[in-house]
Amino acid sequence: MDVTLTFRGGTVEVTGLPASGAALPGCLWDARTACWRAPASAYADLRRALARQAQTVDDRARGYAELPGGALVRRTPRPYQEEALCAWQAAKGRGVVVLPTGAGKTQVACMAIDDRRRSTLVLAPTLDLVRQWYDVLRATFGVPVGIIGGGDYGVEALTVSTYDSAYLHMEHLGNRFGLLVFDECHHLPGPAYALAARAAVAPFRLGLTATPERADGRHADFDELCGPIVYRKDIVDLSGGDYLAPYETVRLSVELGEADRLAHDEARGVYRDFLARNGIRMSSPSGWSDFIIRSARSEDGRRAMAAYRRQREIAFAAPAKLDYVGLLLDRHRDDRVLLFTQDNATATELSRRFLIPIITHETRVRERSEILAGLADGGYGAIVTSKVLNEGVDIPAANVAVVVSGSASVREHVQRLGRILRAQAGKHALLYELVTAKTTETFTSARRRDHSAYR
Amino acid sequence: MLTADLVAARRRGTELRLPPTDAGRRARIATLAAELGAVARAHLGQTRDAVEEALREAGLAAETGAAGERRLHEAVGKLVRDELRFEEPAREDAIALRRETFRWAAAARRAAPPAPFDRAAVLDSVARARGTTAAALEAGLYADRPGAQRLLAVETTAPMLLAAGFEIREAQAVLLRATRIEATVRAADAAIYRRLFRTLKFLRLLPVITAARSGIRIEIDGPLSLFQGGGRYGLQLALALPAIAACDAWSIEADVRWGAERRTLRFRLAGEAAAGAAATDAAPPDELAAFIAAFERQGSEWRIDREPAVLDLPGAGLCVPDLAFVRARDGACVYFELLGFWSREAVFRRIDLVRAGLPQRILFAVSKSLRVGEALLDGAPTAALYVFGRVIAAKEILARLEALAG
Repeated sequence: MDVTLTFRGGTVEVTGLPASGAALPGCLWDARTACWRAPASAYADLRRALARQAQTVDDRARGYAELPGGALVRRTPRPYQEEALCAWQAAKGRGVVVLPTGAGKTQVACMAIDDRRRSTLVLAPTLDLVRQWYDVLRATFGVPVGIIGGGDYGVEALTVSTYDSAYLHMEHLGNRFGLLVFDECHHLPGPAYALAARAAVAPFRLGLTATPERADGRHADFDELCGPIVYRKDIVDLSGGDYLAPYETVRLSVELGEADRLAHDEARGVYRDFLARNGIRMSSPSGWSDFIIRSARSEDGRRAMAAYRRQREIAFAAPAKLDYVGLLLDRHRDDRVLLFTQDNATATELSRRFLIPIITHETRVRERSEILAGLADGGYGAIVTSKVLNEGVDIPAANVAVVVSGSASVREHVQRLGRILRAQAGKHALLYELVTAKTTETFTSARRRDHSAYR
Repeated sequence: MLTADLVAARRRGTELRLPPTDAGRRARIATLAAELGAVARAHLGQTRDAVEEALREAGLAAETGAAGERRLHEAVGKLVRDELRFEEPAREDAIALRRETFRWAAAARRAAPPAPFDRAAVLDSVARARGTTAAALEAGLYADRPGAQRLLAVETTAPMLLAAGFEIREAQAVLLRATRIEATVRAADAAIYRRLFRTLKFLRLLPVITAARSGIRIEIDGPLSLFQGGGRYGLQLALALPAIAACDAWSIEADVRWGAERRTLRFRLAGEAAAGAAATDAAPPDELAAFIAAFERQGSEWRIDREPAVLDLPGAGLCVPDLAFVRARDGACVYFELLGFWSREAVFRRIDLVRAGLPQRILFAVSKSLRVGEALLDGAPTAALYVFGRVIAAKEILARLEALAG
């Protein structure tokens, strides 16, 4: 009897083998449907295992096709892009390539698609990146490109999706693609997105990121979801040469005014007092969740949470800091400036005050495109954003970044620097970091600069 | 829908329990719903920011300090907020205004000779060019922000009805974290079962149905749960609850992953046809609706009964047909069930039922994607399989009805 493989709801059903038979890779016996079942990602291993057993296989799981043609446009790869592709090929088409922002990860993906010529799904974390991939794939391969996400649902042999939409649809689409490209793949090990990777049969998988390490240590899951890191170059390996713009980082400390200092210290006192009275140590791994849980249980706790937020707000948006932003905008009136904030409120305040465009998660795709095009053509000299431009978005014209406020995340800080590093003739990139003195921002800043790019 | 953080569920050993919803709690919920609805109505025409602020203040004022009061307030507030309707923002106007103002500002900043940026001068210039004032210009600059949208209507459920259905809403929030449910339901009216099964099919859940001593038992999960054990189907399971709770009598047992550590706990709930939690009428699947229309268009002496009885063969199992066809000439009846989704095993369970002696005539329409052959029921005098590709052909069904009815 033939063994039949069928794709069902993100899994592969194996029928034609007895329940008493030897288990296949990733398979469990499913009594509900009286067949063996594996996560779809085990498909390639299953095929190999059945081939070793010399089983005749009726493969109805594979729903992907070979691309009729390759790339129409082939750019000469940079040496490190060629090395990255070779490393990925040597790993049998599964693995993560780590390259700094602006080094041309998209080009590596196009080379991989051209190499494997299988229908391909590219997953990206934001709609801006989906739009960017759409443009690149269409121009490179000259075929219709599908989009899933942001209200679109079109599936083609080359398709781009947000991670969120892939999570929703992979149970139906998981057998339609032979190659998955995970852009900004450090997002992948989260439980929901990992499920999207597991619900797809694709034997070939390519992860792309500048910052693979995750604070929760789950980068170890890359091996299972898309393969191990097969190639790596960091900012310091490529900057100053032909591939990334030379750069400089400047850290500026600003003082709080007298009234703000008083308000800050008072709020901080309330918060610290609550921590001390409840024995909460913020340096311990459970410190933050302990604080959230305990602060929700009493009026005293809620006051402490409000105080915590207040002292952060004062540090993030200190008047002296915002004044200094005005000075920097005047100083760099002929440059292209990106302002980054930790929160939307500060971004909105900067937009109002200096009359510059703002991009937040609420900004529609069309307006975002228009704003980015305006920055590129010089219609705008500066834009302000909270976090949505942290990753991936290609803004070659930008040469000055001002981190007005941010988290302690090294990844976020490296990604923000990456926005201004794409090489252009004569470009010298400059990143300012504004830090409010004698607040927790000094500590936050020290933590996020713990990367070779800032040494 | 409520979210898990708004539910005051408590762990008791390995169980998760909701606070008992007695008459006192229901009255408190109804009072809160009435108060918050009134606050919202008093802010008709005002911005979302103002409405949110007012609801927050009402929350602080209403707090009695009783345990769980704050969370209850937030939960009722969420349900009231879900029913507020805000205006659609005049997005294009605001975008155009920003474009013009910000481009003007960028040009002014670069103007020679270099001078500090003069915000007021830019606003005045743009306002003059547009024939308006600087103040009006500023007011319109971010008018498409969600917080700036105005409240148009408060479409609140009656407070007593909201209170009556509150426990189901809380249970739904718990089921968002469910990995599996087993439900036992009883209904006198087959239409209620049909609605339930259509809901489960629509939600792409995998129900395994067996007859219970009183009613039927349904185990519900999905294909990936075999590996994940996680909450992939939590939303679907939560959405299925109102259809379960619409049965005359019902109970559920669910495994839920609760708390920061996502510990697996057992959650139980039972009730009778819940007021305020009536199942939304699950529409028949598209292919079935298309078939019904085509069958009626072609004309025949067969009438379609859309609410047929549940067929129960004691000891063997049951099935819930989608339709029954009744022939005008002699009243001959043939039941019809569509098996269009992914459980191939469901087809074999129906075949087993026929072989066990299901007395009624029945025709199963099975999607080609399930890879079963019509020959599986060859020779069965009262049942037949019809395998269809993209559409269920009305002519083919008519021929099979005639063959079965003789």
